[in-house]
Amino acid sequence: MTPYLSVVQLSLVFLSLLTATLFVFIVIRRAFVDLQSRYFKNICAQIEKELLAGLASGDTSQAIAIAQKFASKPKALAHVLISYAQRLKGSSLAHLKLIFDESLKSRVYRDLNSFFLDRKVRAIRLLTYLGDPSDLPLLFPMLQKKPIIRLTTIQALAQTKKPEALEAIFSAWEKEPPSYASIYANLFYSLGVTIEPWVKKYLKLPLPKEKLSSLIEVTGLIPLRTLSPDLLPFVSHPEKEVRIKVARALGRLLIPETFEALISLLEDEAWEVQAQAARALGRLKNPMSISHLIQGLTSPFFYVRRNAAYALAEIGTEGRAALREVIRQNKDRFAKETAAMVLEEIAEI
Amino acid sequence: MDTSGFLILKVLSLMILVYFCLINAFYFIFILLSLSGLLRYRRLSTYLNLKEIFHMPLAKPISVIAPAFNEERTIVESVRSLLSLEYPNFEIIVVNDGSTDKTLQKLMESFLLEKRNWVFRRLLLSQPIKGIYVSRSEDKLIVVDKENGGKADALNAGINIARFPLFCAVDSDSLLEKDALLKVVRPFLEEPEKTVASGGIIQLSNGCEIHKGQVIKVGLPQNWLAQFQIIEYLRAFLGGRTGLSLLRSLLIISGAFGLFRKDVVQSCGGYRQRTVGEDMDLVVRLQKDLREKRIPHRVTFVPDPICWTEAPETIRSLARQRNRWHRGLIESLAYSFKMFLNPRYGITGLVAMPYYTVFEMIGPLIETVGYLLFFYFILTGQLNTSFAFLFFLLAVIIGIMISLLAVLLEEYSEKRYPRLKNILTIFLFAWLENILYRQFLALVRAGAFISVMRRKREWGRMERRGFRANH
Repeated sequence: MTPYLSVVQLSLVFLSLLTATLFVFIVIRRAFVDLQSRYFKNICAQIEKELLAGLASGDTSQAIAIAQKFASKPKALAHVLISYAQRLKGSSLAHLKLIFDESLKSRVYRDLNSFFLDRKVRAIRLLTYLGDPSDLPLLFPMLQKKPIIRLTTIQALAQTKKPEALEAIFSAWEKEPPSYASIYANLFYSLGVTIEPWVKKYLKLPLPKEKLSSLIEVTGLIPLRTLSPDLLPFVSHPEKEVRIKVARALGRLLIPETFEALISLLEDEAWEVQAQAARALGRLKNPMSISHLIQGLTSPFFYVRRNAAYALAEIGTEGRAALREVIRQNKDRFAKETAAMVLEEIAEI
Repeated sequence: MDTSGFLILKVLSLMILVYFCLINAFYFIFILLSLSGLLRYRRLSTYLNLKEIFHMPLAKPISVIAPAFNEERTIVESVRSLLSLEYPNFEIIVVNDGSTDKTLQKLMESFLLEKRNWVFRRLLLSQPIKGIYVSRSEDKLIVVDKENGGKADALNAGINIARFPLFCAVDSDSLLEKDALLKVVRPFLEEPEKTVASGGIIQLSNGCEIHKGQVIKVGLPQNWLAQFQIIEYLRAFLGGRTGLSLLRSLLIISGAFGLFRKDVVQSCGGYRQRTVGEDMDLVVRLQKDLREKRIPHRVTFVPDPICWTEAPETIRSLARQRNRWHRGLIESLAYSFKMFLNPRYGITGLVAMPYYTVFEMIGPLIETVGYLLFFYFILTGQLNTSFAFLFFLLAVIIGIMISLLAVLLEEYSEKRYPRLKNILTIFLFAWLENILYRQFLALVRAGAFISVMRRKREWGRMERRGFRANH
């Protein structure tokens, strides 16, 4: 048994050593991470203290002093600069910009091409908040990189709201695969009315249905009311998705002159378009749509019936009276149940 | 024994040896891949303000579907946890799958439920719905009361009611971290054209302190059986799934926490009823369906969003759970077996299916055959003592090494065990699990083959203690 015993002994020694090594590694790593994080916090606190003093006095020499003192601590300096740049404006921002120019700018240019994603993201954020207008084109190539870099870049560019940044965003959007339309729609929505000229321009260009749909949707969401005439040609667009978005957008823009267009969408061949048009007509609150919506309530499609019922309820007294009429009839069970559900929901029964 | 019998035994022994080498090589590769994946993820998270990016006004809304069956002890706490999630727009749909206890009453009392005549579209098959309730106190909450039909059936009913384009299937006895949805939705934003499903890490809540549906202090359980399972979860989620996801070979998104595109799930028929492993079955069928339709897609594992779940603390319930999981695995793989080594299904057919079939499904059977052969050789006096001894020793050493490395992965995860004493305890259990516990689980999982043949069906009930609330 002796050779076996020595093998067991050796194995136990090996495993014990491995366990001990891993444990020691974990202990050292935790201690190191704690120390590093405390050190980082201390440095950030120091930078913040000196930065606040500089901001209070408005003395630019203090900004240069901070830049020189902390240039060797790029992580902490970047952290503080990013968090303050998001909140400051005017001369205070100029103070931060001076620190950035004197300390991190050249490093940031390098980091834009770094292999490490985190450095790239940090560089994009710093350059967006504190870079010069001439630096902005440096970010545009980032719109061709990995998805996470693209997302960060468009998010960062959007925050500047500068015309050249918006131009770059729209041109990147044009090149993106159609499936990215929804992400850009989020961004466009957050930009608000500033994007109106670009939306108007792109509504006139031939676009894939996904992009066109998202642009129409954003027009309704922001809302860009002056663009309602630009939407009307799409009422007869061959793509169903586009007509759906037109109906939704018109339901948000609420321009009385679009009533006829919505009635024609309610009579569309696709039930999805009818359902959206019904909802939009409810929001428009035009009593002239009641007879059309009662017709919608007898649709063979569930969503058309449901939306028509909600729309009638939304129109007000006359619409609700129409719903009660539908409950009294026994010819169409589905219309009756849908009307009852909606009236119950708004506590009318 | 005649020559042919002897030869068969020799071949079997050799096969087991080759199998053993292959499976461990795979495990090591996964751990290395996972380590690099985790490090990259951590580094990137430092500068990425997820909330800023994902708190988009038009971020795709999510329907969280939580099927519940006899969960009266944990349901209220779980729903509170779900309601406290951070996400721009979501709804919670609790599906009471014909519970025989007070699950529904507890929900009605705690959330002031009110019955509604809800009209909905029945796209997926499910047992009849008895009632739909909305809450007067929580506008995000919808409760569906239906006749019993199993978890898959309950999830299908939830999908029918769901209003949003993404749905998140969660176990009603699990707790989600507040930002779990924000993190798990990330692949849908990064690769919207491809991502069809994503899942996150599941960790055990046994031993943790819970307050208002949130884990506020991570700790180890007192129960030794739960402590063994901690190692298993670390290995499976931090080691296995992170690695498989990097190889684009993920065939499972845990039923306790998974986010899916509703239209894709609906188009492949939703959850298959009468399956026990509905979570894996769905992902395997999604991969199959999308490959057949030649639609580029991705199933991703995000090594961060945390879902806490309670582990069984008795041998009986653990055996039942593992038997059920393994039956689910067998059924799912058998149902889509045509993908096995079929180049038409790309990496799923050539890598994922063989891996899951050979190592995950048949693994316990081969291990059990190995033990049986060992005893047979002892009884017949044919045992090559030195070979058997060295083989067993090697198996134990490699088993312990893989578990120890999984603990190292845990060190790089966000919700690590805080005390060094915890790490020592996990190390101790990493050593101990290779003696008896591992063999017990191999037998239980091998027994699942018999259960499959008997066509055993159940919801997979577990005795719940209820989450420990210390405040």
